[in-house]
Amino acid sequence: MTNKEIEGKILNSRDEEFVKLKEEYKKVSMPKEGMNKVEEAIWRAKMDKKRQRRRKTIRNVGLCTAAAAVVIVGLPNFHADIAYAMGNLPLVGGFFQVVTIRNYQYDDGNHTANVDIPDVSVKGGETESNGVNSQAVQQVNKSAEEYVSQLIEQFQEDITEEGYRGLDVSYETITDTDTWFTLKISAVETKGSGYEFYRFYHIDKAQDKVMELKDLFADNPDYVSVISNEIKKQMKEQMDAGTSVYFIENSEVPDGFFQIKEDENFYINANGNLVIVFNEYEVGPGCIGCPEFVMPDEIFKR
Amino acid sequence: MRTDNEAVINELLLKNYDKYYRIAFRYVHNETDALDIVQETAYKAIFYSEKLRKAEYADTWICRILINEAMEFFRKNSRDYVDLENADTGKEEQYADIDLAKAIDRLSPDEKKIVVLRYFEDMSLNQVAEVVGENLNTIKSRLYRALNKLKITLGDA
Repeated sequence: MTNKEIEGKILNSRDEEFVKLKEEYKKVSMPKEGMNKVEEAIWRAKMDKKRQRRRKTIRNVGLCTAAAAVVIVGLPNFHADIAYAMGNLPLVGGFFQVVTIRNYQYDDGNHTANVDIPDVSVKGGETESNGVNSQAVQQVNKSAEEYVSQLIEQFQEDITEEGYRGLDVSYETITDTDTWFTLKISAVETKGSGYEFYRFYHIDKAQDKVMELKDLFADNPDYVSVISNEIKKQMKEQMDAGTSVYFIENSEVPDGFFQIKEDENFYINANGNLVIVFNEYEVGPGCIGCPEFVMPDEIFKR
Repeated sequence: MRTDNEAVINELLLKNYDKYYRIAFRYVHNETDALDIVQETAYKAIFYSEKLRKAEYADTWICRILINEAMEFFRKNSRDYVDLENADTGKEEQYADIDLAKAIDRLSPDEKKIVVLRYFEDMSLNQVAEVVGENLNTIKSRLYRALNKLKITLGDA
């Protein structure tokens, strides 16, 4: 069957239902108070725009929508290669669990915050027999809490100013295998326009160690330039193909992307490849969200 | 030029609000959240009106912001969805007993948006691609995947 036929078959076989559903759908209309809300939003946007123009602090360049930043899709667990696992039996075996230890909420109409503070623990870690007391886990918890607390403090400072302010922080387990754990914290700050940024925490369970990018390249001091060059190559390819826009450093964009930070955000994807993740506005206009670059096997492979 | 964009968007928002609301409602199934999404869309569309390149694309552009807002909402609230089933809200949509409606809701957000725009808003595949901001082939394959899923969910009856 061709795709067209499938489409026809589905719609026809369910014709009556579909027509009925569509009728119901078309009947939905906005409640009366909705109109006021839309008008109010339009007015608010115009006011904020004027205010911003006056301050001349528009920082994002380029023509694009305020598209929501790219969402990283939860990755399935991957099995680290056997050689690795045999060489280093995990110190902190088993899976981790992450729960919200604290939630901070604030809403006075103009300023809203919703912040989840995560707490990582080893599953079954509370029982004596497992004897699991992971240093790396403690370190990640401490560091994540400090980081999120800073964001809250900044928000609390900001709300003394006029205008809308928002802060949204959530977390997600990106990887949890026998040997590796990655926690991602996503934050969205809204001050006129939104700003999305991430922070990743990694634990190598085999070493019970919090891992940063440099730890993956212990034997390659050049990793910053190797990765940076690869990213610039990919940026250029995408720009030539017209699929994306980046700010690469050149004569026109003197403060564009030059090289990655030593501890740039990363994660390891299901194929065992290294993925470098940038924050919104870091290397391109807001419309590209938080771009990611997958490194080829010759640079890194789990 | 700049004020032109703003005026065009302003007019569209006031003219097509029912359409925008419908699309949002199809996602979140309740009045309050759908209104929030439309409101936020109106705000962003006006606020960023300078970024719209051509005024004739204004409607597509607004739809795109709307879809992004809806997806964002979906993402943020996906963790709470379990509770929604037990929640006693009088304003849930009326046609939840139709199998097809249920099957559509079970699609992934990416697939669902395409089905909604294509079959409920009667957009052409090209328009859908513009609104969603992906190329035509991606849209096509995703649509057919969605249709296949619908077929399986509904059984071959």
